[in-house]
Formats: sequence, structure tokens, C-alpha cells
Amino acid sequence: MNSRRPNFRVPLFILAALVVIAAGALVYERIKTPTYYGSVISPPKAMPGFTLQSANGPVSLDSFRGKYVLVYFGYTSCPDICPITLATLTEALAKLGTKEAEEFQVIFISVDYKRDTPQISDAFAKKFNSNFIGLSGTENQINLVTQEYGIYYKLNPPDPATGFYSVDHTALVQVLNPQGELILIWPFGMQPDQETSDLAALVSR
Amino acid sequence: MKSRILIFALIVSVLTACAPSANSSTSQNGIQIEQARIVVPGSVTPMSGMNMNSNSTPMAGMNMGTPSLAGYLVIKNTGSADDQLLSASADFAGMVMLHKSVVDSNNVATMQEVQSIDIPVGQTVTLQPGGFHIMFMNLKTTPQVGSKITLTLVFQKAGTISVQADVTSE
Repeated sequence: MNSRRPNFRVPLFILAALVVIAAGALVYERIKTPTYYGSVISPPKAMPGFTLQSANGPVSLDSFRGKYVLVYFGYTSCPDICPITLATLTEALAKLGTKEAEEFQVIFISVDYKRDTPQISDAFAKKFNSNFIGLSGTENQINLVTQEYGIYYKLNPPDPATGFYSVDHTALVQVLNPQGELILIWPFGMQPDQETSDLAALVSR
Repeated sequence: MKSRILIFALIVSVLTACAPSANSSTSQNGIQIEQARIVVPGSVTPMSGMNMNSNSTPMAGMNMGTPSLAGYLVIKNTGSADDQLLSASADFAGMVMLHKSVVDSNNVATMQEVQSIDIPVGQTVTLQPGGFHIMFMNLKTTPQVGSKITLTLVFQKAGTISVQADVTSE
């Protein structure tokens, strides 16, 4: 009835509603699962350890626990697919920032047990980034690890004129978490920006 | 006298500036070639840092550590007839082949030699990672990143065309 007294109720109600909405949005942002460009493996799949040959002797996957491991199978005589995959990884990690990039270990495994010694495999990997590790193995070791990691490979018959042979192989990058579980797969064709986004999402978890 | 020298210098510099950039685009007999590049991965020269362990001698004829390199380019058929790229060559490689990479729906990557690459009239064909590429093998030397290499291409209709390819690290 008293026309002088201002009515606070409506604006107060609107303000309260806005605060609730803002708070809800913030909580949602924190708890929602990030979107990945790669294929998410859910639940994470425990991957068996493997022993392969490095330039400095035998190496087992366990020795990389505590870091994310990015595994790629290929061969060093590959002029096209393998270089572009490793170059993309190099660029993706460079865009991430030095400190964050330290949480990731790239491992290149050559399935070409006939041509690629551990030294050749490692030198190939290190051409892209001195922190990358290149491994190789005996025929038995390669058969075992490719089977464990679901990787198809085939050494093709050599060209009679040149002696050169190509190697068919599954061209994926598999991302393992610091506990050695497979959590993400990047198919061939992922762009550096997309990989950087996925890597950033992983370290922010 | 001075003004003559000045004019001469001016003419020379204008002519030099106008000289066609050998790299940007090469057009000949209805075929236009652009963005020719040869990829030598890494900024470190491949032969450095290699462990020349005699126990790890690779197959004879294979250049240890850098057995093959890829070349990419864009080919446009601006002529009036279909054409085909038949072959390529460069001084630094003893053997050069045309290849096509394929990654199938199971993510399996394969590579096959092709005898020629069709360049239909009016079409642009791009040799790029994951697809058609030129494969250089039996490397006599490794091209230096940042330099240019003469790449000689042979077309069925357009004949032999030489381009300057950039040597890049990716």
C-alpha cells in the first residue's frame, strides 16, 4: 500500500536464478567428460608388458610406467605414412608446451625385423624428436607384441628388380595411461591440432 | 657516366626481380606443376648420431637410416588431352618409383608401386602423404633441408618437365 517502499522482490529473484544457473554451468564444466578426437577405449584396457630391443639393450614396457605412452608400429623404409605419423606427433607435442609434453613418451616399434635393427629404429625415431624411442625385435618378439597390441603386419615379397619390399601394417597410434592401460586410439589422418587437444585433455584430468 | 651506370644497375635489378621464381609454378605443354617438395624428416642430418655398429649391417644397397624418401607435388592438366605421369628422377637417388599409399577401413597401411598416375584433362592431382607419392631409393646423398633439388618428371603427352623441388623436413 505504501507506494514509497521499493519492491526488491522481482529483481532479487532474477538475480538468485542467474546465480544458480551460473553455478550449475560451472559444476557441469568441471564434471563433464572431455571430448576426444581419437577413439576412446572405455573401460581402459590393461595391456600386457612386452620386451623388445632398444639401442641400449632390452627394454620392457614397465619401465615407462608413470608416463603416458604413445605407441606406433611401422618400419623405417617407409617413405610416407610412418614419417608423417611421427612428424604429426612431433608437432602435436610441440604445440602442447614443454612441461606438459614431458608426461608423454613416444615409442616407435619397427615390425621390419629383417631390415631394422634397434639402432636403425632408434635413429629413425630420433630424427623427429630426440626424446622419441625406437625399438625393434626378433621375429618372435615382433609377432608377440603385434599380437598383444592388435597390430596386423606383413613383410611383402621383395621387388625382383630392386630388392625393395614394403611392409603392410596397422597404422594407428595407441595411447596408454601411466598405469599401462590403453585409453585412446588415434587413426591415421589425425591432425596435429587434434592430437594436441587430446593430449591437453589427458593432462588436465 | 654515373647516370648510365645507375640506369644499367636499375635495369639489371629489375630483370633479376622479374625472373620467374623457379619454385612457385612450372607450366609446360599443358601441365602445371606446383608445390614440389621432397621430405627429409628431422632437422638433424640422418647420418649423424648413427651407431655404425658392424653387427647391424643392413641389406646391401640400403642406405642405413634413410632408405627411402618421399616427394610430393600438385599436378594440374591445363591442356586439351588426358595425360599421365610416367616416371620421375633426381640425381641424388639411384632408383625412383611412383607409389600409392592406402590406409583401409581397418587402419592397415599398404603401399603399392604404380606404373603411372593419370592426370585427366582439366583435373588437379595432388601427390600427398597417405596417397600418391614419388619414392626415392638407393640414395647416393641425402638432400639438405632448405635446399632445392631438380626433379625431372616424364609425362606421356607433355614430355619431360624439370621442376625445382624444395627440400623440407615435413
